[in-house]
Formats: sequence, C-alpha cells, structure tokens
Amino acid sequence: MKMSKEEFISTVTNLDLSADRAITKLSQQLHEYEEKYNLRSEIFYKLIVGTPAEDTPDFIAWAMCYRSYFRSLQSKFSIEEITTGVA
Amino acid sequence: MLHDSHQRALIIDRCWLIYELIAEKFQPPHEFHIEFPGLVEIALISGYLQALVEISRKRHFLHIHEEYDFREHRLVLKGYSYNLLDKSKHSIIRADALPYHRVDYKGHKLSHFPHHLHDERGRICPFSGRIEDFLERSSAIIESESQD
Repeated sequence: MKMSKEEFISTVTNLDLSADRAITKLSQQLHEYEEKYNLRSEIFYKLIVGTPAEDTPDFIAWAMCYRSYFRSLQSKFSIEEITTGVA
Repeated sequence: MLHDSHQRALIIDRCWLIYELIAEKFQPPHEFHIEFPGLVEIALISGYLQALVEISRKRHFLHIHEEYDFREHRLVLKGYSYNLLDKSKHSIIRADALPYHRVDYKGHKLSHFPHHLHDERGRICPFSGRIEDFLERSSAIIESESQD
C-alpha cells in the first residue's frame, strides 16, 4: 500500500539512524563484489575507477558503494566525536 | 560526511520522488513499501541510495543507485546508475553519467553529456539524466513486452 508523502516523511524522520547498520550493509555489499570479481575493493578502486572499464553496472555501483562506505565511517566517527566531546 | 538537517531533508525529498515514481508507474510488491524506508535510512547516513525492486508481473526489476552530494545548499547527483533488468537480472537498458561516451550510436554529440543510455541493443543513446525519463522508457518497454 503506497504511503502518502506525509506518512513517508513521518516514517523516515522517525528512523533511528544507525551508522553501524549502514556500515554493515555497505560492507556486506563490498564483500559480495570482492568475492564476485576476486579483487579487493581498494585495488578495484585504484585500477578501474576513472577509466573506461568502469562503465559496467557492477563497477559503477561498486565505486559508489566504496565511497559511501567511507562516508558512513566518517559519519559514525563524527557522531562519536560529538557525543564524547572530542574535537 | 555528517548530513545536517537541511541535507537530510533534501535526501528525503529525493527518495520520496523515487518512491512515488515507482509506486505510481509500476506494480511493486507490498514489501517495497515496507522496505523502502530502510533504504532511505542508509541513504541518510551514507549519501547513497540503492534499490532493487520487482516492478512487473513478468518479473522485470529496477536497480537504482544514486550517490548524493551537496552544492550551495542543493542536492546534486554525484553519480547514478539506473538499470532495467529482466527476470534473469540481465540488463535490458541502463543509464549513467560516466564521461566515456561523447557521441551516440548515430555519431551525434550527446545532447546532455555525460548522461547517456545503453539501449536494448547496447547502443549509446542520448539521455536527459532524469530518473523520470528512465522510468518512462522502462514503462514503455514493459508495456510493449506485455502486448507480445
């Protein structure tokens, strides 16, 4: 059953945003790509991203997932620094 | 990146647009409505929305990836990949904005470079970059297949 915009906004603004959950999910996805292509993500990123070989659905998604994983880590530590008062 | 409240609102608005387009244009299963907010949660943390949704009785899927960035208080797409998949999860058409194609398969300059679409034959076609247009084209393909 489709949500109204009000229901949608209410649902997502009441989410208990968990950086750990996001990191776990993204980490699982990175692991799946690594298994599929037998290549570590950091090697993939250095070798493939920024070259024409990137233009496949998996590689485009893998690159986005990799960058987002690090953004999420950054987010987690920013939150922890705020809550513990570390500058 | 720790998204501030304005940035979170922009991501929510973008995710709503995608949710509404899919719900209005296709026939996603009930689970889509339950699970989509969980995908938004990850997008709010990571700036990355990924959704794989079954959208037809013939088991077509949409696989959507969007990576968000912010410029001057606006949300922009840092990257995206839109895919229409068949029941075997093989790509039928797909679109992205990687800058490796400058002309379409007819040799004409891409009208919205770097946005382009790989059509059913794998040919490079012009594409606006708008998800609305990708879903419109996907809908037309599904409709034509259902008439076969």
